Amino acid sequence: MKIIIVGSGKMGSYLSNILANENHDITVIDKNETVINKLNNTQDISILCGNGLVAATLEEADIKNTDILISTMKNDEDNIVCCLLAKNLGVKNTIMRIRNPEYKDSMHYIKNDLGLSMTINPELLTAKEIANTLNFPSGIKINYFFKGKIEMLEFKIKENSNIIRLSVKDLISKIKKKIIIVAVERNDKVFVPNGEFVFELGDKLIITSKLQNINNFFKFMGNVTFKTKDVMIIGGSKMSYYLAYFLENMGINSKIIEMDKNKCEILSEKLSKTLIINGDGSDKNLLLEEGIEEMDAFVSATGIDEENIIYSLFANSLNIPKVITKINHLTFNDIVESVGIENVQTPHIIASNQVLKYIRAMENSRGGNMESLVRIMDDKLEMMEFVINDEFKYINKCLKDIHFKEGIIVVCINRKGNVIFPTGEDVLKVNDNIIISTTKSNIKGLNDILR
Amino acid sequence: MNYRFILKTLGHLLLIEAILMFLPLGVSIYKNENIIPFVNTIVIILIFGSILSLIKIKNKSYFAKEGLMITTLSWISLSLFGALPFYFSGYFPTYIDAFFETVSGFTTTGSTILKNIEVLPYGLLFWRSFTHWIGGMGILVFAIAILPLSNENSMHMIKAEVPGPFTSKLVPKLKDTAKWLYGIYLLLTILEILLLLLGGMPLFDSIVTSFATAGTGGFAIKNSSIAFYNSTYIDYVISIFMILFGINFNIFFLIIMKKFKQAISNEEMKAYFGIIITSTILITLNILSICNNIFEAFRLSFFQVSSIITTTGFATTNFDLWPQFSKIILLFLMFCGACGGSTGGGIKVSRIVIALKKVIKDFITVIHPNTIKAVRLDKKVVNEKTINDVGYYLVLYFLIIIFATLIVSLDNFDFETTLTSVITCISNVGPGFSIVGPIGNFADFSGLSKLVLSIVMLFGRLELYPMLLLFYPLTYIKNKRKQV
Repeated sequence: MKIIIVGSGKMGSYLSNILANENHDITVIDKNETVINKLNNTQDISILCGNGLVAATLEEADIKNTDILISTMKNDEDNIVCCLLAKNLGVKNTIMRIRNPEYKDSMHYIKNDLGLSMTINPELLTAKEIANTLNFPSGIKINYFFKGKIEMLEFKIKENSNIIRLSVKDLISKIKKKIIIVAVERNDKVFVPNGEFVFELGDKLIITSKLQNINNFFKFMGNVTFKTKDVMIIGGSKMSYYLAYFLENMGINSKIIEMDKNKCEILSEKLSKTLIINGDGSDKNLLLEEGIEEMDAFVSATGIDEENIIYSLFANSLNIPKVITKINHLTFNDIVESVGIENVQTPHIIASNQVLKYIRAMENSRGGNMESLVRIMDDKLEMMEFVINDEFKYINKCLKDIHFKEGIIVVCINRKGNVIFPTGEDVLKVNDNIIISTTKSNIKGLNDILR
Repeated sequence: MNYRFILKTLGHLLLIEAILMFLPLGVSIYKNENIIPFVNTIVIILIFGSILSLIKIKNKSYFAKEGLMITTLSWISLSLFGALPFYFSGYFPTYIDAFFETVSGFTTTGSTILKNIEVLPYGLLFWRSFTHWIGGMGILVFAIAILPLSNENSMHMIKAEVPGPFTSKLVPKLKDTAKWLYGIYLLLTILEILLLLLGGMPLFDSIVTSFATAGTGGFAIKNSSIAFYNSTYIDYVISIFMILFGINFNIFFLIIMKKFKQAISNEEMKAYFGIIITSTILITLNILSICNNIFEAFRLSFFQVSSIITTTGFATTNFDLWPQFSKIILLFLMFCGACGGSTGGGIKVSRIVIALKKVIKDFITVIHPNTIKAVRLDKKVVNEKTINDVGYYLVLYFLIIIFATLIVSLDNFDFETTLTSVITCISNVGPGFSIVGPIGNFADFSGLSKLVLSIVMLFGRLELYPMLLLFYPLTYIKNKRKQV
């Protein structure tokens, strides 16, 4: 695919490198000649030195024949203007980085004018990622799909689990919550289970649902080894704010330590349940006073990588079960790991991976009328996204009355931004986005899923 | 320095050379000639190439230094092995002579040490001209187009091999760029072969002449060069194709992409045409007295101007006998060279344009000390670093000329021969004046001079810096680094 990336900062250059290696034609636009020349020498891309907000520059990059424009400039406003311009110059899809959450909500109204396929907020995504690692016990792999709209959890059924020898039907009726069992892997074979399916020891499950429901599920399943209750966060950045916000919703107590008093005040206005402490994170006594030793998890998220590493080392020395380190720039990951800092989160990489997933899904779905396609479990399982149009035979019919082919399950319905995890009673409406999961590989269009 | 990687890449390139050598071998078989020189060479190259390409690479990373080193060493080793058929054939008295001839071929210089070219068998003549064709666009560009050895850092190699102050990619992928370049190159070559055939030139002659034109090399297969055919049509076809191959290949790409406006407005190309037209008119007027009529004068001067400015070096007349004024113009054209990104050599028109603009700018600053004015090329501001690079390039160019002239002067030829032999080699032109003039050759030079001139040709073709790296001791000193 032809892709233009405007802005070659951390995220822009990370994306261009990976996408170029995946055989896409990449053009990078940036104002800074030194940066862009360096990029030209180290990556197999074409470069253009100029302002991405000027039509002539975009035209020189052959915007008309471009599939995707990714705008990762410093300012949100620049990114919006760039996408708007690019769309009017004929680009098919745009992806932009938006840091300000208020803008993100407004984007919904001009989505079509921008040709916007996706907005990315690195801080928000990082916070989500950290919140999830804190929320779930270890041994569970979390995957995000469809622009981060749904999470899927992958885990193995261990001994003494309460769901062994239980059928899917019984399980649902016992926990009384909607849980979608997307797929099961047993003896290297993947299948989509129906209601009669019985779980066995050693099965690998992929499930999805709302977060609360998933928590209930794990409670029911038993042998959950660890649940986070208290978290200490150093640094009151935007990321910390999002994280504290998620933790509040998950019922986890969190404490933020921030040096800047103004920032503390703003945080305290926005976060009602979180304890905000105005103090220096590098003050060991303060940390001890605030009970760092009793914490279940510790997140170092200041703007300085080196400090974060030191704080995490300190937390490790106190045997805090979960220590998470945010690292922005440093490329010495192997060294950081070798001193015992295992859980490292880098915002631009998390955000880039989200974009990459989307672009790969787009690449896979070319040719059919599906919106996107993702393959998981060593390509044995396909997840596809379709839009329901007027021609679909079963509009406004309950799912249980629709005759799907064997081995196909509707994972979720996205109706005007609301994600619904369906039961047999839910209906399909025009313009719904549905995501189905299947082990069959010859499905191209919506009608292929019907019997 | 990642020596293993460099040697392995060299191995791959040698294997490519061996495969390319099957073409002249085929010619030899077809013409019923002695095929031993080629068979021997192919076997030797295959042995060396296979051993080198079997080297296991521990560490795949390489940087600018390794990229430049690969370029330099590959050109040298290809010439060393490419000289073997000449040496084995016995037509060349020493290995140094064969090496000089091959370097002259690969660097598209076209200087020869042979007193009588016409005695060579067809196979050798083909290989001689074929080296022009390979060297014109560059063997590494070729390797990148067909081999999976390119990675992100291959740009360093391309930069070293494609001439000119700017190296831009036609399309985002390096591999695709290389394919486009060779595609355009091949297409133009075939077109020329067809047009020459139409003019009544024998098939073999038109193929090798087209190879020599395409690479802007200048090896002819007749002692009297193109004058042998004595055809106005052939003269004009070759003149026009020489000029075409001296244009930046990006312009052909723009034309294929139907961006005519952008193609026509290229400043370097305009300057290039301007120089050709002015020089042709001046020389035509100057040589009018020694020609039969104005048409002949124009034909001779147009052919010679295009031949020298594109650094091809074909001749339709002995321009050594021309008036001094015309000879000095030709000497300037030797320095000037063709456009960047073409197959031609010399300093390159774009460098001269940038240098002149900088001089004008500095002159204005003298009159208006507070003025601020940017140097522009194609309406784009040229940054200070590029301008400085151009300045240093010119200085270095002349330093190398002085140094090489000093060594060649040990042979004690007259001033004109000594100086122009070096200039013609560094600019990859071919003929100079006096003894090395269009009907002369380099046979009488000493072994040392031939070696120095061969190195100078490589300096010119690879645009100085990659070759300098070879002579810079710090290149070989190991970086003291340990893998973590």
